[in-house]
Amino acid sequence: MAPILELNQVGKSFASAKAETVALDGIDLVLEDRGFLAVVGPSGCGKSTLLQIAAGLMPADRGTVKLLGQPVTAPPPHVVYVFQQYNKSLFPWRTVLANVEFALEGHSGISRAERRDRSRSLLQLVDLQDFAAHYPWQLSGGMQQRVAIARALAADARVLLMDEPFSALDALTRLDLQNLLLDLWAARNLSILFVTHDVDEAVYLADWVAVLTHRPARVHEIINVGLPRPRDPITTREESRFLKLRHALLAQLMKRKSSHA
Amino acid sequence: MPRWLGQLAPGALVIALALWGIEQAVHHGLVKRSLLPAPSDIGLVLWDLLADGQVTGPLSETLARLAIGFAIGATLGIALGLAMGYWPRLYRLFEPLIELLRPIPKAALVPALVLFLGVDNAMKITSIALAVFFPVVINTVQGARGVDPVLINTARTLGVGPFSLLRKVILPASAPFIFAGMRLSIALGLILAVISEMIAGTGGIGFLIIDMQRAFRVRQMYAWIVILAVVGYLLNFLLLLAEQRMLFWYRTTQRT
Repeated sequence: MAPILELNQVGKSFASAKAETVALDGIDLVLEDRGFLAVVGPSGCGKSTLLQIAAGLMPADRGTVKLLGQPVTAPPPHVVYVFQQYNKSLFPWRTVLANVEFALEGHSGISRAERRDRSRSLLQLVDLQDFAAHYPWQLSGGMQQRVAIARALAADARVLLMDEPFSALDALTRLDLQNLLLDLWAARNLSILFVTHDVDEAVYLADWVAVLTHRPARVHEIINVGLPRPRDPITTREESRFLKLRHALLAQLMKRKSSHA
Repeated sequence: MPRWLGQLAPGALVIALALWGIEQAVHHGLVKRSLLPAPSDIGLVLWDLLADGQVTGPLSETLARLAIGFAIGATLGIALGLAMGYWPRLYRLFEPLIELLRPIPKAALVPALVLFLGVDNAMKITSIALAVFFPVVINTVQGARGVDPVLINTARTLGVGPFSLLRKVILPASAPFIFAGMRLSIALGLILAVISEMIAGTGGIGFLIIDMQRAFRVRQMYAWIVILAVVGYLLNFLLLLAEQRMLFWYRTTQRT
């Protein structure tokens, strides 16, 4: 498949009063069209920084980011970032419906009525049609993240960049949203770059899992998951290949962690 | 007894006691009637002012100037504050100037403004706008700089340009600070409205207060002061009401 998003030798450093810290060092990653690439790494290794650079929200110090072959210098259309902190990412003064509509307001070609209709149907897609008139802070965490996903779809996302989107949710809600995401990914031909520290989640969701090292973050290896789809929240996790991959990845991350502890 | 009455009763009692105390002090000659008339006398004058509609002319004159000056000062303050909060370069450019001008009591500028603008509305509205501008701009900057980067990046990743971002994200997110600034400002604006009328006036409440004092019509002077107190209270109350309506989302989200 053709690449949709390419990171080429991406580097980033942060200057403090005393010294310069290299956060990312020569990161090469390719997200294929309609692909699902997970990035795992120890916490604090710069995963979010990497994702923000890919989103055009932060400039890289070295290397290039390309979307469909074009260099990314500002947040490009059809690429939407989904934050871990859903409670800070939704507009508290807007209703759930108006939050979704926000993504459509920049387009002058869409009438008010059409904006409303499209947003309503997206809310239906994430099973929140009954909460259109609620405010985000009246919803549970899982529901809030559903709103954020519906809003990303309203922006006509082809690429989703997801920064630990489910890590603040309880275990059952997380499984729920993982499956919702897989359904949407398949149904709407999305390409997803998914950052997580949860190895289980990475293996369950992705086609490929990239493992980052601790600071400075480099790509240690990229694993082909190769588990059949559609995946099942219970049985997929019992397959021997799932367990083997989970074992290998966890061992690697824990070893890296202890050598830096 | 309803709850709100129970909450208001102690405060009302203190006010009533204070009035009664002054009343007694005047009646027993502890205070000269020519300096401070009995509250009941002031009340009678107040009643006359209200009953025959004498209050409307000066009141509407002062309020109209305050409204225009407030609108100008607050609009400029919000606009510059948002821009400074969003663009660090603008912040570094204007912040020192604002900090330098801010401590000047704006009343001290009224004589200078008279030199430039004369004694009419232009001068009075400008001095009100100046007094209103500073608290609003300072609070807006503070609010705009404090907007969570996650919220801003969310809007950016959804393809929002800088001006929509300011209007649709940073402005509403800063609204709690802007309202705090405006409530400070409305009180300052009222002060400037009164002072500018005292210094260079032919009408309005400020002019009447000083005019009555010069004419030894002390009861009238106090009556207008009471009217000013009520006006100030009501303006603050109206702003609080608007704030509660517009910022319904704020208190709930602050808990998390």
